[in-house]
Amino acid sequence: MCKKHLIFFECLVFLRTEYKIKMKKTLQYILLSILSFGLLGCEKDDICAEEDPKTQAVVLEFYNKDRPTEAKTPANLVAYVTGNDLAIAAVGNKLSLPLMIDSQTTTWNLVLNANDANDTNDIIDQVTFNYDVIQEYVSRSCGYKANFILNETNGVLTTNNWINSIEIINSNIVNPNEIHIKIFF
Amino acid sequence: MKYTLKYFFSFLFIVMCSNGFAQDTTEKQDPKTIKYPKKYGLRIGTDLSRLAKNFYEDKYKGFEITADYRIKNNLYIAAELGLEDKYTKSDQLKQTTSGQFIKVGIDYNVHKNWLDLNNMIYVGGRIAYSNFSQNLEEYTITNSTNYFNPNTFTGQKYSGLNATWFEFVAGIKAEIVTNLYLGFSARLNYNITDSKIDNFENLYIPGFNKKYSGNIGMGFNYTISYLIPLYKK
Repeated sequence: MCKKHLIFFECLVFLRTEYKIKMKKTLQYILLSILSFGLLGCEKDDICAEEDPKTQAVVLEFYNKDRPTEAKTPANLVAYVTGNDLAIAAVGNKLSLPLMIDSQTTTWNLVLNANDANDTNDIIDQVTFNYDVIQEYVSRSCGYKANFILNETNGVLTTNNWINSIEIINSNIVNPNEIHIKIFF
Repeated sequence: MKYTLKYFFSFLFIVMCSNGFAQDTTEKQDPKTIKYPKKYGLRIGTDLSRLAKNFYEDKYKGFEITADYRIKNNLYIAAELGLEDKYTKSDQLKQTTSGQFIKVGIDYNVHKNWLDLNNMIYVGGRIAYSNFSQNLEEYTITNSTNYFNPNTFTGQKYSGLNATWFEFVAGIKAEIVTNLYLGFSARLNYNITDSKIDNFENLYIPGFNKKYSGNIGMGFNYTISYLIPLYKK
């Protein structure tokens, strides 16, 4: 219950005690209903909920280049953007990479065998995403989100040090729980 | 400061509620045998809560003039007129709504006054209209993870917006000094129309107050008003 409406409550309690005899039942109900409506409306949509639409990351899924239907988990795969110290690790055969909202291109370095002790076996491929950003209004509490539409001609470009080929499954990065790109290696 | 004012108003309210009953026990005369003429006239006032907000709320500017005119023993024509500049700030956006509003309707007094008292407990309705503009100063988009920092963009101004709504009113007015009244009213607002904005929405409507995703809104006012008596009946 928010503080703003406590004041109504105070008044109502006061009215009820002072007017006990004179106030009609109907009036009491009217005042009560106003109060309860107020409490229902109270700040109810001021928190951006978990299930509300949010900006999505591009989701890559890895497959065996020789048997394209067979999922293949890349060994110790991490990804980073040049100039940023943080890295994102793959989970199973999936890797979720955020795209920059204030740019129309983001290049990720995908490093295979990165998390083991041996530095000499690291192989890096650069994957570049080219896209349009569409800003979509969600709500008062969530504000805006970004939708990404990968370009038709050059949506995803890659070097081929360990990656064999790429297939765009879904060029709209809008909804959660979708796979956008298949990578074969 | 904010809460101090709220308590001040609560106190004010209690004072004005009590006032009407102070004389109930001392008067022994049977009121049914004596006719007390009722004052008719134009009552003009202002909303103290909006006035106070100018001092305690960040970047708020606003006031409301209230008026009512008694047409029958228990029936009043009532209106409110006001201006508001309301600044809204959240993690996602900063925006200012500016505009004016007018509300017209009736109040019906359900309180039977003792003797020559002129207090009111009333219910009523208003039809209301506002025209306003919304200036989205800036907004921030958060990415799917915090790998990249959130990006902040400059918004734009949306002008020529309007809204209509219906208000259900319940309130009280108590005469504290001859012809001077303190009042409180609570309002349940039902939005009928409001201008649609492409890729944004009306977050606040002057007079209607905060606009939630549904059509229901809430409001209240604390008024001080003066009755200009015109005749007695």
